[in-house]
Amino acid sequence: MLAPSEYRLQECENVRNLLRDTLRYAYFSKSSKDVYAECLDRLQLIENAFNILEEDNEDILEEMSNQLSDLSELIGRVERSRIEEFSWPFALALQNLALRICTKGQPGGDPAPRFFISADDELNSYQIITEQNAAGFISSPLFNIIFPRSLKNFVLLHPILGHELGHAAISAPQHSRLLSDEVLTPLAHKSPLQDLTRFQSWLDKIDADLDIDEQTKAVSAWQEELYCDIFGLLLMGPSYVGASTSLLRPFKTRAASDSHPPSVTRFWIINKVITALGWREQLRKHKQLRSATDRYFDSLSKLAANVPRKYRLLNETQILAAMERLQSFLADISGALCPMPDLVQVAAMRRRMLAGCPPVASEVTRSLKISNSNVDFRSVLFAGWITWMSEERPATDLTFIKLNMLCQRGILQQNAVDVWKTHERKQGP
Amino acid sequence: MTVLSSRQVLRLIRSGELYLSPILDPKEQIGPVSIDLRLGHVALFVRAAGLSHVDPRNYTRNKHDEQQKEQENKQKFARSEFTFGDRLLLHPGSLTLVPTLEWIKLPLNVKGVVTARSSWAREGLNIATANFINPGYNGIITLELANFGHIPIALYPGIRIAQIAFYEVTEPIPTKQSGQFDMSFEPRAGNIGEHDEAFLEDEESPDGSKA
Repeated sequence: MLAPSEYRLQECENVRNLLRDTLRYAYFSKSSKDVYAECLDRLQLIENAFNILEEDNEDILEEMSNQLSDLSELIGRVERSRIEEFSWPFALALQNLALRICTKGQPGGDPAPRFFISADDELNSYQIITEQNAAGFISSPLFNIIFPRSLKNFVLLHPILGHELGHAAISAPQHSRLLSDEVLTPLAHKSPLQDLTRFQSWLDKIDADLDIDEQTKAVSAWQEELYCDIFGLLLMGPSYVGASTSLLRPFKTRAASDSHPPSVTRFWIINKVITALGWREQLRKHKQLRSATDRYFDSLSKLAANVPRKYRLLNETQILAAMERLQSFLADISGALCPMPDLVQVAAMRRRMLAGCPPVASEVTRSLKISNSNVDFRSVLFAGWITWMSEERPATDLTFIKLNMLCQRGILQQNAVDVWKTHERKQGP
Repeated sequence: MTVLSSRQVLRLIRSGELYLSPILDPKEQIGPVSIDLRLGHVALFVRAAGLSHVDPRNYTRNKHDEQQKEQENKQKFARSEFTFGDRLLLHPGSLTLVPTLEWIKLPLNVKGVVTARSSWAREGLNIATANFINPGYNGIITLELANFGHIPIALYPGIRIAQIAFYEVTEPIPTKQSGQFDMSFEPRAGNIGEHDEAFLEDEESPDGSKA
């Protein structure tokens, strides 16, 4: 029989072996070392605690055992973070955005979160798992960005992770208070989400079946979900429309739950934000993009127009107040607020994809000089959606998966251009 | 068939008739009649334990058995992806299929010929003999890399590894021979038995069992 202390130390050894197993595969070579070191530090801390704590410190021993269990789960996810399981060109671009958001405004000396990316077998399992630097136990918080494995190459659906980054941002200690006070509060002000009483009377209107515990949880969860949709839109730009409607539409009749508002309510709010931003008017200015842009935004506006009045949870004032505050929040973070896609660039990308080529390309000038533009990955994704909605597309053999892979290829090529340009800058003239 | 000068190729790219991208370093990457190609981000390593031997007859045997065909295909190679900065090691005597970083789409009157860069060949790195790219081809180019030297060779996505020259086909092919969108996104194993079934039939023994 093992004594409790022997058992705990054996568990530490097992977790250490699991951690070593993560080295079997490479994922992001630049970040895997940091993640490995962080896990090793935590394991060492737990092991030290087990070595010095007496058996009568039951509460602390139990807490440390729980920490070990969490660490084991986390390492298990790292072990599955193989680069072959997700679209790394997209993940790299997203990780850069996430890092900028989560480190902006951090007090000096606070460790930057480490990101690791994994793929989950569950369909539709887009998620970002965050953690806090609880009581100095961890050196750097580890954030896990999770892609659904089955949607590996479907980069046109990946902008939904903009919504998940909204959760990550509000969980960051330096943003939490600000986003809560200045975005969530005006969003819910005088709405059914302001307090439980108002919420209950609204739930009665839609005949929702939530018990009191679920209702209490839903009030704050729904506020955050709706804020995350606005966050995702502003972060990922117009491509968020295609991703969110494609992923949510199959569930539009889903009843309200304690974690998420009904999908129809979300369509209504997303459409309100887009209308306020004037994206449709700006993007349809290019003649070659007009009809596809109209079809693209129509798919959402028609859904929104059919949302029964009782499901329109927030009014325009509430939505716009939250949107404007979020715009200025993101504008303060370099590159976070999605720029309006360059229409000439989008038209060229659409033309290339309809011809079966990647959207990003080295261009040759009249004097036969070569130039490589800087193309934001969010513009590539929007161009992908516009190509999908183009009248010419059905006459080609461009299936949704091929289109996604062309977009992914475009992001990869842009990554190569960025690597090259960074090197050139370092070399100097 | 005449070889196209690089200026002619650039004009074709400018007009949209030919797609070749990315070209990161025109000064070094473009020669008088060729353009250097870079290593892409996927590698299919042939697994020694995957199959006892290569047998074209397997391709005809499994013609109607999707599961078996797919299983052999999947087990023959170990697939790995690499980001820029990662390293892949090619061991002596091993064979690896890799894509180019560049995507290429050729017009119907131009063919491409891919060869190794001589500096790599001198290190023992061999790239398949005479890699012809047919007119109308659209996708990455698969390179078959073999290490003919005695020590492993480290390779990095993005390095210049091969070169392509373009030739004008004097009588353009009338239509593209494969589908319009035969886009090739990454290396694939070829079908060495296809259309040669006449010579690959299983022999039957007197008791009816297959040899």
